[in-house]
Amino acid sequence: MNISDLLPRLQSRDPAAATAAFAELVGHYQRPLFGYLGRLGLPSGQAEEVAQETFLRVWQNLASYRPGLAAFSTWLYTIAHRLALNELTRAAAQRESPVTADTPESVCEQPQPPEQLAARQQRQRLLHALHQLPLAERSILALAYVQELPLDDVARIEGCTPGAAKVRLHRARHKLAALLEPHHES
Amino acid sequence: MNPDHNAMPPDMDDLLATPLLTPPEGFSERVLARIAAEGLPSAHALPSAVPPPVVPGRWRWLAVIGGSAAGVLGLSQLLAFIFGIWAATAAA
Repeated sequence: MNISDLLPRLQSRDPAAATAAFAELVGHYQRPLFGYLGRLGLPSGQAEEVAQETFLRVWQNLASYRPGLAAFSTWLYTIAHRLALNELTRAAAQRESPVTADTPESVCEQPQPPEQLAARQQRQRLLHALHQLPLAERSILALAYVQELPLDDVARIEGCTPGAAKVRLHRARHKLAALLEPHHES
Repeated sequence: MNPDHNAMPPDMDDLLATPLLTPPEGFSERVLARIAAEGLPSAHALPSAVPPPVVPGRWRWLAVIGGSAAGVLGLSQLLAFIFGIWAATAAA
């Protein structure tokens, strides 16, 4: 999807054309956005709230987006990042456990083929390890695996220099690798 | 995964790149329902029918002339006051 082609339609004065263009935009970004929110540790209910709010704010603030200043994906993930961190901070303040029963990995009770079960267990292990990382490191790791975001844009969203982002990412990945070691006791 | 990453075992990289969450059923429809309720934001709105107030050319000139005259009058009053004080002290 080319955002420069979509933008004039998004800013159209015809509500039907603008809504159709926005539906394309939601279709394109929803999957990577949920992937990002999942890596960040939001359970599915809160992730949906954050994702909906992100798209709503994108819609409301389309006029303030300047293509020359940042890529559209950077702008969108900046909004999502702020909303998600607010949500995680609020949840932490309320002493809510970030891993709750509504995460998709924990709700399925039906028997599964061994390979699916193994993949699910691996995801659970990853999720558990991610939750053991400090939020700042989890956040940069979550952003770094968004396909459309180069490290410079990750740094921009995190509000640090590319060099600092690289160091934080390196540290986060090493910690995560250690947490995922088979002998690691959580 | 982005090319800057190099320390993770490859299977963990793949796992991190696999979404831990996927959009729930009907997510797009719910977002579109919310933006439909919201209506077109100001970015799409027609330009305002009321133009900003513009001072016509001749009135602007009058304002400049009036302002200058008031300035000159004020300055002359100040100079007269200073001269008066000087004259009074010189005579004493």
